[in-house]
Amino acid sequence: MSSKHPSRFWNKLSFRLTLWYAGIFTVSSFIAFFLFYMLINSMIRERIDRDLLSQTAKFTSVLETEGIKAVADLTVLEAQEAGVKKVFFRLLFPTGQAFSSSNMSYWEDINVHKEAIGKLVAGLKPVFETVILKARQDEVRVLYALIGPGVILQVGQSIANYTQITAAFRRLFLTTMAILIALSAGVGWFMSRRAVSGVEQIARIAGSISGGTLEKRVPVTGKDDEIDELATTFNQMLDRLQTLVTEIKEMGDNIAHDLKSPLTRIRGTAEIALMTGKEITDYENMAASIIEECDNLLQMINTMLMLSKTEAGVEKPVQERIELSELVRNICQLFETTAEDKGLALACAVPEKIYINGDVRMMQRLFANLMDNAVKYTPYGGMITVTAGTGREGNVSLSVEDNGIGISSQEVPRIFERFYRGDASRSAPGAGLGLSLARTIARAHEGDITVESHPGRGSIFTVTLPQAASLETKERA
Amino acid sequence: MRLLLVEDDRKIAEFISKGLKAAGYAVDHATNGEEGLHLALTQTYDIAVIDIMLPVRDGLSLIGKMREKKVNTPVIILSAKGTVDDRVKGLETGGDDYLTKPFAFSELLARVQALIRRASGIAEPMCLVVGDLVINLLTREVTRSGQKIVLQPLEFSLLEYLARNAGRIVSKTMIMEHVWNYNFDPQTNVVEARISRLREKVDKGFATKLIHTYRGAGYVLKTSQPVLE
Repeated sequence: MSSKHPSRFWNKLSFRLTLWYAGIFTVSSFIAFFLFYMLINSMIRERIDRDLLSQTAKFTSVLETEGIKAVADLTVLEAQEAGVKKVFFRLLFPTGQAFSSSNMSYWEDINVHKEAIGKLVAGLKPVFETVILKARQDEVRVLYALIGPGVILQVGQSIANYTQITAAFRRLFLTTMAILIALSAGVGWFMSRRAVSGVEQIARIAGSISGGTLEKRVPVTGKDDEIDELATTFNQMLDRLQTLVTEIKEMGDNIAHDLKSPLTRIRGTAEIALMTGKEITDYENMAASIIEECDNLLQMINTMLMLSKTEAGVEKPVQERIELSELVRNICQLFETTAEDKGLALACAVPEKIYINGDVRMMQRLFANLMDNAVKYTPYGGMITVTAGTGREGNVSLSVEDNGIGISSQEVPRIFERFYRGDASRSAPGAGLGLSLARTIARAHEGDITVESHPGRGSIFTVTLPQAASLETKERA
Repeated sequence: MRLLLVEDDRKIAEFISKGLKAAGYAVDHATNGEEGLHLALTQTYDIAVIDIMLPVRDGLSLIGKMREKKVNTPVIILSAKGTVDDRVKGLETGGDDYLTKPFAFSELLARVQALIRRASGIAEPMCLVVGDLVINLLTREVTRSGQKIVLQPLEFSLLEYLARNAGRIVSKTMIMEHVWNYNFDPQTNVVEARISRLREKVDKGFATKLIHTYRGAGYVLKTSQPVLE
């Protein structure tokens, strides 16, 4: 409708639904009618056949008790009683030749079927036949039966009345059907339109969003049906898209800034060396600082790539079993000399045999980033404590606590944002990605990271992660 | 040692050949895959350094063709793509090592020499000797001029890594990767701190300094003038 390529209406879901609805309705009605019609027909046929058979029984007994003359009279009487246009009786020899009959003036075109006589004589069972009289649009049910030795009775009864009834029934049905089908198509159309209208609305909004307005949302009716579910899911998707787009925009700005500064430095260093460099040491210094800048740039680009890949869920963390105390011990070892040089006491109190599942490299990165910060922002003589434990709900929590400069309460909510750098950290090395990456990694492992900080007294960063079953409990289970 | 370099980026090829020639290699340079293949099939090389994205014939197909023709020269693949899949693909095709751009030249040199050592089947030495410094890899004992030096396990690993690459610059990233097995470089100066500790134990009180810092580039363990300069 609002899309750029209006689909033809027979391609529309509502049209196809209507078609199906009407089609299924028609087919099932026809089947029902057909079965009903066949049932009525066979009931009528049975009833006529029963009548005819009882007539022959009557004739048989009359022949037995009163003789052939009485039977011949009976044919005339019976036909008159029922109506000469409805019934006829004819008495035949086994050769098929008639010797007596009721008034046959109306039934002149009914012949004696030699075949039927043959069958009757061979099987001695009554033989039924339906004769269609095309000339006057009549149908006659004919019975051949042996009523005595050498005497065959041919009885015929018009079933035109019944045929009229079934024809009327057919007509009635067809009219009703036509009305019902039209009605069902209408109802089907209405219903499918109703069902699909929510989808169409979502499609319309999606169409307008591709034009660039990410703020729009699909209204949720609150009926809690599938369309509502679709609308909610769609809105959630839009929320995520909007955040991503905003983030990308912000990141673009930040990247531009963080790439431009080192590039300026690199260019400047080289330019100055070219202009003023006299000694070989000038050039050596230039080369050295350019390498440093490049390494930093590369590090930043790699961190950003890791961040966005982890966040976008492109790179699912590898699930390895990690023993937490070993991981922490290694990280502490990595930092121990640096801490010592800064006069920092480093205490690692992590109980053994706590396991988590995850990517070792990412976990190293996460904890190294926290340690990095603790070492950077704790002045000489400070103390860094790493503790871990298992909490309720099968969580593992690991804390890195320092008694350093702390983070002001205004800054606390922002420190996990990308490229955010607090006042204190602006002069320190780094691009403001460390904590952001730490949080992204924690979340990618279904955990999270929190901070508690008091300016001037220090900070506690706590990472919570789902605990993996220890090997012993696994074996027991 | 003869080395085949297949790389289409002129500047990258220039610094690689310059560095490798300085390290004593005879370098043949091809700028596209077809030319590289021709050289690889007609000449004998001790090692080949091949870029993946090449004109005419890409690096992977070049390596595949080499292996198909039973040319078993060890190959180091250079690529800007660094995902695990790319690495696996490169090594499956017949590469022996994989280096992601951008890389430190010292890293390339270390890998070239490691591959040549592996290919020539030189047995693992028992001791690493740099000047009067002797590192016994079996007993993990370190002596300098016969004087015993006591090192922590991590310090020993660091010194061993420097000694294995004696005379060559090793960058901080290489140390993080090979000694600590971390694929990133923390912001705090963890490597510098370690090196200065090690320097105190190894060099203090000796006239010749063995551990040298190259600002920006990294560290070298050497007796006198470095091989690379």
